Amino acid sequence: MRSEAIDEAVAVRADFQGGAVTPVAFRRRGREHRVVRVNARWVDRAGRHPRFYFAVTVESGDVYQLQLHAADLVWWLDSVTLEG
Amino acid sequence: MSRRKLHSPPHHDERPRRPAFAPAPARASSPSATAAAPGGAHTAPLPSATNLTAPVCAEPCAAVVADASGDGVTTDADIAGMAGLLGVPHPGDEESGTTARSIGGRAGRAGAGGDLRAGRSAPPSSAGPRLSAARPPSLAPARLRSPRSGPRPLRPAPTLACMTAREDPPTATPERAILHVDIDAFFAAIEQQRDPRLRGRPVIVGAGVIASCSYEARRFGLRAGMPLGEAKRLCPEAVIVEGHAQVYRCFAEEIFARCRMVAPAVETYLDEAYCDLSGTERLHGDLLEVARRLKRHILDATGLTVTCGLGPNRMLAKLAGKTVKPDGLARVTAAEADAFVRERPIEQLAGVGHAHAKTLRSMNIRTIGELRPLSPEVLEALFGAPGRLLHERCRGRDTAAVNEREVPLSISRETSFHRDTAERCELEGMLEYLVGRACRAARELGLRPRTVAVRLRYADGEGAEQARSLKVPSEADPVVMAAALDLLRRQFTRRVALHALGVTLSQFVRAGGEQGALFEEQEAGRRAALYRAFDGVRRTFGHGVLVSGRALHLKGRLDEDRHGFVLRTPSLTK
Repeated sequence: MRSEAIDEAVAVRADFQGGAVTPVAFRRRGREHRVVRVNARWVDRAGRHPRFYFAVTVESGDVYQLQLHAADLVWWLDSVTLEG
Repeated sequence: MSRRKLHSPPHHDERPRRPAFAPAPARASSPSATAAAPGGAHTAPLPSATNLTAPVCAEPCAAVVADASGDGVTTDADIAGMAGLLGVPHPGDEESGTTARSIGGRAGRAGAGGDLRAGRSAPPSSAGPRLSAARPPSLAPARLRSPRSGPRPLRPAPTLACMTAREDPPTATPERAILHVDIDAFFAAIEQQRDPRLRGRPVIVGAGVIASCSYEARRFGLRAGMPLGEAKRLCPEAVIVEGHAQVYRCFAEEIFARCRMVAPAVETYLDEAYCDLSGTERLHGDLLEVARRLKRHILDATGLTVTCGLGPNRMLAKLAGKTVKPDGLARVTAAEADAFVRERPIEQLAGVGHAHAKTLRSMNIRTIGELRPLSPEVLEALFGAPGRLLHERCRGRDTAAVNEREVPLSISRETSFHRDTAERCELEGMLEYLVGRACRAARELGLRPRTVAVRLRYADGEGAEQARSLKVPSEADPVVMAAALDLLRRQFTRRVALHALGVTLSQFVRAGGEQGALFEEQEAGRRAALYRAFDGVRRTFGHGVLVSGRALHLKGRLDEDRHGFVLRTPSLTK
């Protein structure tokens, strides 16, 4: 397993139904990655505004970590974990 | 057979007594040792179920039979055994009420050979002789006669058990109920949760040494604290993941929040919590069901499994949980404590680490029960002041309360370097960064440390640590840094690169609780305002947005994220 930091803002299509946020797809470098599974979600309440984190598996099988800043509703792509 | 009541002696538990209106413990008729499978769907056999129950069955039988012989003579040992077995009622409780009867009935069933695990107790009708507590008959009328207006005796007259028992009778009335919640393979489980490709594979979290490993890895003999080199040799296919301390903290907070929903007092550590459920039976009903529900809620919310142990004190609750890891649920009542503790390995006794266990094993003491013949004086001579605690704990007694720790004992920040280094600017830069993190944590808690300690570890494994007290407690970075820097320079004397560095603040006082300086008040006020502003900016934008002084040397050497520099081995275990 190899983890690579990305740390860039991305456009995310998300589902806000039922009072919970669920990322559905995100676009990075012109390519759309469809989320096939949300593996884990957690909230960091350390700062003034909470940040919502998601570990998601995309179609290619890679696992990405996304975060949503509650203050400005900006999505960030934190990292990707690759096999090997 | 004549029924006899055994009156409890005055107990010396420091905890407040159960109010008179509080219900009798529901445990009296509930299963005494239960192991539940995930979700509590069915009863699973305890790994040590035989050890857990068999001695309980044997001793009460002997006591009852001895008394049932009709000679009217009960030996000291019989009484002590009965007193230890019975959760004898509190003197303030109802006379010959349900507590004594139901506990006696259960003990009788146990004596009849009933399995104490959930759902396996023999029905009352099939019980052997009912074991009831004995009390001199003259006392009962005196208690019953005591009106509200009349003077009430502060403590009951000594009973037969009080006068004759050589062992101190247990002080478990009213019985406390402590729930110990332990997150199974915490770090590794979260990593497996985040990345499904890791599930079912041996996973190690850590850098340098194992901070946590999955249960799949433990089958290869891997344990926390083991060097990674040795771990790789034992389990070449293990996946090694560097820790994500911030992620673990978030998951832990979520779990502890669930615990606080059911318990009025919760004491939390990194991956475990003690919940004091004493007196909540009327609110919750069966506490075992509460624990089962809590496990389910935690699993639903986080996807993590926890092991729960329910007991009359912290030590027993934790020990009970240890018998059913992972994802288990077990309960030990005060009545079973003696037998439950006796056969457990000495290493499982709270306060017995590797060194103590080695000493005790060299004395051929292998189980907790074998520690009992040693007097408190001997244990104190062997292990210092904690020896006296061991004397109590090996008897299943632990009066420590569950406390929300408002003031931590210490705040430490430490890390190892990505590569061993002897560069002064890098060492001092890292020290300043660690001091800044520790001081910010102290300021956020409203604390001022009196003592600063610096710990370092050389590349050849040798270590050094020194502490110094400040003239005046201070949480200001420059004050703490000056002391820390001096400590580093005093200790870093060998011509060997450093592998790790850490700073620890301790001996806290509340901010504002000490005498201020007469002539430096303005300066101190300005400095406090400055650091309040720093902390505000860092709280909003992350610690890494403000880096000062020597820590600038770390720029370009270390990766950064919004939490600051990405350290090689952040304090995962803090």
